Amino acid sequence: MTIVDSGALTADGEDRAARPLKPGEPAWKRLTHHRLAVVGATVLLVLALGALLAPVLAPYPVDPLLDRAQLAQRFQPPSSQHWFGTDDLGRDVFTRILWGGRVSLLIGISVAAAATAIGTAVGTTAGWFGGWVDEALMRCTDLLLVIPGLAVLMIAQHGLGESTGVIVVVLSLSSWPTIARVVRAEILSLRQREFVEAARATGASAWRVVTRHLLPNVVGTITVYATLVVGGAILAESALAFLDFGLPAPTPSWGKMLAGFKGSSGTSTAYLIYFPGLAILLTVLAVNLVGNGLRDIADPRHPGSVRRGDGASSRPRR
Amino acid sequence: MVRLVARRTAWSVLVLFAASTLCFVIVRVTTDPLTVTRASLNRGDVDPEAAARLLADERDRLGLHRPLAAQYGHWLAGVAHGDWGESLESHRPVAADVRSRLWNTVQLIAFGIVLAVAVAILVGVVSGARQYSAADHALSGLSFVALSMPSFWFALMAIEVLIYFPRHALHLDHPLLYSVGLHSPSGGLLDYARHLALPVMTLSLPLVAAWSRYIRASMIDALSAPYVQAATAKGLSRRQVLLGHVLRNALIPFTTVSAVGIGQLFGGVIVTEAIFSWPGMGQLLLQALSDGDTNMLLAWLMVAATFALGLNLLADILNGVLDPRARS
Amino acid sequence: MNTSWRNWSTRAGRAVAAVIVSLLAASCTVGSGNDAERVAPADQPKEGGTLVLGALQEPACADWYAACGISSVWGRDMLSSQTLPRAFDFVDNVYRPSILLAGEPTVSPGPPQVVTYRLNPSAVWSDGTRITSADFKYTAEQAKLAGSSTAAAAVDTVDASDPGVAKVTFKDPTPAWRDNFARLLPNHLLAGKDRGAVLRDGYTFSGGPWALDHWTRGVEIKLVPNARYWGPKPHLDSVVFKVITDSSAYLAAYKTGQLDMAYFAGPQRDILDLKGLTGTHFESSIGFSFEVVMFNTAKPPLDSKAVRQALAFGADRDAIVLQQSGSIDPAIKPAQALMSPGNREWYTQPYRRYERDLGRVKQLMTDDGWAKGTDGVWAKAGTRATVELNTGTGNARREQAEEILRSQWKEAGFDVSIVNANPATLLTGKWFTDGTFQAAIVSLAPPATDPNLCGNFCSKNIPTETKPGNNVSRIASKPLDDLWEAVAKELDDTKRHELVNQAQQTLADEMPALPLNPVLDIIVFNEAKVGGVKTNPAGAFYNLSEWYCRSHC
Repeated sequence: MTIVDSGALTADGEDRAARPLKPGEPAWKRLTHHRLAVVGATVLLVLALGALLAPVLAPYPVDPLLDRAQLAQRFQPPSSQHWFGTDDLGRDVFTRILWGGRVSLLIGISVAAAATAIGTAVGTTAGWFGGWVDEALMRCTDLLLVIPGLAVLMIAQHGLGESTGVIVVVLSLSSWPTIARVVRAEILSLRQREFVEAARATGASAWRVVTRHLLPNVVGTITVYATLVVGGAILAESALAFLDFGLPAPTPSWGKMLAGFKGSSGTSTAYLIYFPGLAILLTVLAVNLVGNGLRDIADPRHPGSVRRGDGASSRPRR
Repeated sequence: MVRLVARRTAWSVLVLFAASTLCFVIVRVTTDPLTVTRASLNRGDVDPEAAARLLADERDRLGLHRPLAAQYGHWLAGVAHGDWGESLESHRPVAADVRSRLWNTVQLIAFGIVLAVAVAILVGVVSGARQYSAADHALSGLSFVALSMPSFWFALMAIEVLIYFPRHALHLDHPLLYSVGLHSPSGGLLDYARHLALPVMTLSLPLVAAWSRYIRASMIDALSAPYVQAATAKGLSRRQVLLGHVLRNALIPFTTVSAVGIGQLFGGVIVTEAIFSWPGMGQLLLQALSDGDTNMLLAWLMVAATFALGLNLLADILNGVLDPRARS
Repeated sequence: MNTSWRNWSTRAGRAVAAVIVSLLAASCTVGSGNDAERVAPADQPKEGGTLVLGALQEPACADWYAACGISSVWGRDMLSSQTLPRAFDFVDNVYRPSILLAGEPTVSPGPPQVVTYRLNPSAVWSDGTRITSADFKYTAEQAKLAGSSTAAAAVDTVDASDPGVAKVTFKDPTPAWRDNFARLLPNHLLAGKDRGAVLRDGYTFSGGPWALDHWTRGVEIKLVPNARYWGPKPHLDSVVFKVITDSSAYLAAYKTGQLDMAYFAGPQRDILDLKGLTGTHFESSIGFSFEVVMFNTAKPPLDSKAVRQALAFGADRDAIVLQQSGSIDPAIKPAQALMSPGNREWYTQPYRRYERDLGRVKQLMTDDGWAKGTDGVWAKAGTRATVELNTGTGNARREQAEEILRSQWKEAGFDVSIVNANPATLLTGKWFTDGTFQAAIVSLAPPATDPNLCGNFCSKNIPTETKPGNNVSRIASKPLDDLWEAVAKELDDTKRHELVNQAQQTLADEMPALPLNPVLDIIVFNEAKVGGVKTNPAGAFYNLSEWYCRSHC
């Protein structure tokens, strides 16, 4: 799935378009010097605000009464009244884009949250304990990585029906292994470091060492991958909608709006696929830019380093 | 080295076995094997008594009265002997359908990879060698956009721009490129290329974007390594250094990354094949899903899992061959 | 060098001129108004050429007497009717003896009812073997084994002692006897063999105007004329059906000229856009299929007849149908019976009284003991009137109807949610079988022209886990059972009309289902290229032999 593709994105060289960092500078401040990341974050903020404030901002009701007068408004091209035109039921597309952001972002964020939680727990456990625990957990992640998530999602939807819940659960299940691998690799290398040895020597419990000493050092990397899962999940939702496996109506989602008019390219109603497509493109692009910026910050090594040994770029060494 | 290969292969077989269990559970929990029969009996006005009899016969034939574990064992034993059962919909052997579809998908994937690797190396080298140049910024921007686009959206736009528009502007009798299916049986090499162009492009676009970013980073990394400085000091031209030393070292990690990435392509072909009516594995899955053909679904998942595992194994072995540190 | 440049510049000049011409043509089209009504110019059919069509689905097998073949309506209606002989043609709503018969069969009402078919002596299979009564006997046996229809099940014996005469004796009186022998199989090629294995991947023998040249699964099906056909020969050299299962890919293929024609069973919202393409001609006719909202009469609150009727009064069906099909056929009206208006002989309009009327909704609900709560939703004894509306995924037309119904029913005081599911595995396979659904938009496709709806609305056909059946509304009404029973056996045409009429009246009152739109059969084609196309309720491809290519084939 797309998530894996964006995983490779993080194996990227830095893209710092700003001055080199001073050690000890707070992360947010460093992020603000990453121009593209700032652009991405701003776009995301605008989109998120648009989605949150949709009830206030939307010029038309999102769920109007579909009577004859309403239906007669269908297929109106973009105009000053309907900025993005109207759809097949005469509904305002701009209104639906605003509301659709809620669903698309909700899916992206919940999948990322769930995948990060599971991935971090599994990766930390495997990296910390090592030995057979590690081997067993890593084989489980292998197992989930070899079965295509998109196919499983479609099979699940066939058996369980359309619902946002099914999409979120299955996408989370197929996204966490990548994060688990990355976290495990980081924990493995951190475990050998002096400060961890020192903490253990003072008699701190394993729980304390992991939560107080190890995880804070991995948070940067985890955040990077979590942002990429957000983008991957939004793209996966649209791919599913294209294959007729979507969210139930009347919930507007960008993927569903885009897929619903997939046949209109090259005709007078092509605007119906331009706007939701742009919304998806813009959101995922913004998320990826922020992730890219975060990656630069999370990497304390010299500029231009490739993070060999992180899970998505190459397989963990053993 | 031999030990590494043996060990990894053994693990892969174990994971494959576990995957077969998981696939069986996923398919059977979500899909009733009697779906196909029910669907056909629900069409037309079949006499209710005859319908009940036909349904009971099918239940017996499929052995559905036995416990799920026994059914799993029966299926797995068949698979181990190369017997994938028959399609519940068409009653043709599953293996025959999978074979013909797999060949079409392999063609698509193979050309997609060749194109993606070639373009990714080109883009990666150009932008890696001249970091922060205008070309680097432009290519990086394009990569980000390509990674952020739903691939079917790209495909629809490509059909519009590369087929619809030129045909109508130039009033061609036949389109320049095709968006429907395989080449015609009589067509030559050119016909083949005109059919393959768009699906291959769609499939490789995200790969090009991701891989070129990776190669670019590896190049930048390698450029600052001491041996590059040494080579430059020896008086080798920049071109010789870049292609002879930097690229070679940058490609080592890339081989393993791309092998793992290729293993995940089975998910990507579903959408591409649907848009371009490419008669491959993706279309087979969609058909099996809408029919509720459990035997076909099981075979599909197993082929996808084997493909991914095989490439992961290849990545591990390549990693061991190319990077001596990983052999321990 | 010079020449090639000249060539190029001429070509470019032509292209520019062509663009201008096409722009002019486009503006003319806009000026002339109703393009769809314009009749293609009549000219002499040309011989030869190949047409490329699209097929949105492909049959799982070519054995029309097995489950895998029956389930594809397109495969059944197109492929089988072009390659296998049949006893009756059904054109313009009238049954006529086909070219296979030497005249109208003689019927002796009996009992037992006996129908005698006299065969056309020049009728032969593509290998030259004469089509005989043995083929009738073999086909009747196979149809009976498959349980394919009630008319087939009613056949007792076929007397094949005279090769030119097939004498068919029925167990019960069977007014629908003309539906039998719609796909005759060759006894000499199949008897004693595994029919399924021989026919599965397609058969090259033929007894119709066309024969199957090849069928590459998932890619294409190619038909060529049957050289031994004894009737009028097809004009075209071949017809290729490209298998394109994704609707957007299907449309893109037509728009980009990779298909000469596209066929749709019912408009999807996307094809409206094709109307803007210059030179595109729409041919449509109302078929025998129609769509309904099926109510589960065993599931509260729909177990109350008043609630079902109230829902019928809460929906503006005219608006739904116009919204879906109005731009293809502006005169289209909702079906006003549980039958398509395409079935002109039997169609009546008992559902006409259900027009959107919120006053009637209120009256029906109040009389049934419901009262509107503070949320504007009807409630009775603490239960709110909630309805879950289902349909199969991937059908834009039905999803549109769902959204309109949901919105209108919401205003009428019902809390409606939409959940769609895969047609085979979940909707019909599970929810219809175990009766957990409440309301679902489905298409009813009668297997034949016969008006008997016992399969859908007789109590014996209520499905259970072990017994499949089509009465998913679970309506169990003794008067209705009796009426359908009588319809099945009544040989007198006038009396039968009266019985069907009564049964439809009872359905309109009991409201197990609310009819929506008749399904339009639509063929879209480039009129500069294709001629001779006509549609017919019995199938869009019925006159495939008369199609011809005007140019560029």
